[in-house]
Amino acid sequence: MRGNKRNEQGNVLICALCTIVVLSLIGANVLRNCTTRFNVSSSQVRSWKESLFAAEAGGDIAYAEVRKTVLDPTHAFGAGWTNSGAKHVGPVTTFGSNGLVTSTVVDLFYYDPATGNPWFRARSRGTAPVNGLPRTGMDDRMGAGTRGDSLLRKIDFKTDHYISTYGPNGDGVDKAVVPVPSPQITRRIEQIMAPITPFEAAIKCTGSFYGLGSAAQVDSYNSKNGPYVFVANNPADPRYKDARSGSVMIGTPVAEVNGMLYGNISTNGGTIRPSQYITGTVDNNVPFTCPPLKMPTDMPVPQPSPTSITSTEVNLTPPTAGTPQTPTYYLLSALSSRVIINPVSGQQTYVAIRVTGDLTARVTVKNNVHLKIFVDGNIDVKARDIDNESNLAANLQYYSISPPNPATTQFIHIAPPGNFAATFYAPSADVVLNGNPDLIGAIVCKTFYGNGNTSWHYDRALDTEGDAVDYRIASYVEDIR
Amino acid sequence: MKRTLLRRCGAFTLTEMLVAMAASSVVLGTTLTSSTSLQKSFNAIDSYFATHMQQIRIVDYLSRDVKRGLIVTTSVDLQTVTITVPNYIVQPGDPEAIADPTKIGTARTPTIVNTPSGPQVNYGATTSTVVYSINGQSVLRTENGVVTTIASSTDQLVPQTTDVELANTEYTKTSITFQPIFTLGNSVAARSGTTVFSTAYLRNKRRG
Repeated sequence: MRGNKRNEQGNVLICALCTIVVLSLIGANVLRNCTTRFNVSSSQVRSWKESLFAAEAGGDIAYAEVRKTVLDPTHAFGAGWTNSGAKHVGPVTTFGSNGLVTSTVVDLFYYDPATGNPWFRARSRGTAPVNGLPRTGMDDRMGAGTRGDSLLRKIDFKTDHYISTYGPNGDGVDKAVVPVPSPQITRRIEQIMAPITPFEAAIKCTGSFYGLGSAAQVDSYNSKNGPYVFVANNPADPRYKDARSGSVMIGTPVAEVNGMLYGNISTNGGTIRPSQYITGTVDNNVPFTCPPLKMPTDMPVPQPSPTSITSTEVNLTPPTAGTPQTPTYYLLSALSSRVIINPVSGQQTYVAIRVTGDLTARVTVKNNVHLKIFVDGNIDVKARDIDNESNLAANLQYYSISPPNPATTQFIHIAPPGNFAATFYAPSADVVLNGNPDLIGAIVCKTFYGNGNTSWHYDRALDTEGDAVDYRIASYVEDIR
Repeated sequence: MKRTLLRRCGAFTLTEMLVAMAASSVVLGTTLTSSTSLQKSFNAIDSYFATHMQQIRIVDYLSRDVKRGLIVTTSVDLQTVTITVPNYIVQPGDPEAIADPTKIGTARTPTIVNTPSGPQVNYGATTSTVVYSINGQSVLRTENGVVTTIASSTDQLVPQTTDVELANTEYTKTSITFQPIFTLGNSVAARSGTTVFSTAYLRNKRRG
């Protein structure tokens, strides 16, 4: 009887053991699969996405520095950056609770041939650590010789695959096996930062607007297609497509708009309603700002003379024709007497003048001359004093440098008689335009007041003219290797 | 002593045997059924998560290409996505590579072209085309004729992508579903319950 009992106990034990083994195997399999897939979905996918966030953060850091070249030139690519000519190497930045790392190299790779504005390229890399099991997922192999996850998310478990395959700069130079301290994913992006030019509308003011006269009109044309002709009411004319871009942008609700507007109008909270006097769209919900204008720091060394023009008429013929990015530069303490700028042997001639005081003089720009005048003080002239022989507004550009103290008042007064072709970029100035001039060009200012029956023709070629006032990211590409 | 031993070694009666056999059969049957069910359940769960990983992979592939894309076009049935991407790397056969073979595999310096809609950044004279399509049970990615299987499933993986054009940009909305192994009467909810959604924006200004 004892023996029988022993036999029965043995059977139960074996059955129990078998059951436990079977259940354990199934449990282990489930656990293994769960762990591996959790490892991929939680850690590797996350790191792959985070490494892009890190790279884009590096791009943002670079973008901020590029914007400073215009908005705060003395601090652009400052602390932490290594600068060598047109190349700027950013610091390695670690951020976030997950230890993301980013670094960026910015280089000036192109000058706009028309304006001389620089374009920047930012190459950023972002690295995120890969926590968890140092292995690829169990779904990696799609078939014989076909990879899945690891083809997309290239994890550097032991060494940096990019440097060993393509070199540190991706150009095949200096390839080396570089170990990584811990598993990581690195992604690389390239962004192109393009200059924003200031003259996107006929009139753009950040403050109040009053104008123009009841019989005034604002329309547009494109000087690349010939001189101005009024075709804004003639759809059959091939130039009609450029004739209705005489737009007005107002950054406040305070806007009194009169006259005929062949273009769009926007305010920031205003109450302008569509009417027969506005051919384009009306949008009363467009906030914008214009940052203060600072004197560019990339001007060449100024010419030794003249240093002021105050008593007699001066004919200036620069020693060289210059280029848009390296114009012949004059630094004047005052400009109150007429100045005539001549081209160099009929060539396209680029000239920049800075007036550290007020400008009250007549400026004559001969054909083939491209002049930019930077004025620290006020501008008080008659319309005829803005004397641009080519009648191309882009060839005579006035820039009012913002006063260091924002409370300081700055103004531009343009009085009759006369007509003119020019542009004004004066984000801190109050502009008053009197009389009934026929003008070609654009104005960016703080406040605008114009009571005359002005005929205002915005030149669409100004879209890409003028000094950079800001930057935007114009292109994005990822190096997916 | 002998008698006792003989009695101990005596066989079960027929009734005892039948009862024992019946009981054993029930136990074995239950064990087998349970094991099989567990195995099936395990397979179904394994398949579910494996397919889910493929959903994530499709979404990641698509969003990577859409972000760097210039144009995205989806077919009428929403199952083929064509993306135009910049030619960032010099490839064999490109004009730069013919002129200077050492440039193969290097990043291009872009050129700037003024267009009526503003300056445009171009990497090379041409662009690359990436096509996402379904072939049988596989989801394929084809870049300039090179085919890569990015997902392969017997669970009827169905990605559907819609491209939405805005004034200056474009974005794609993708939803991916699959048919799980365990369903209740092939209900619609079984498939829709597996949906993974994704939205990706072009980082470049739309050109198409």
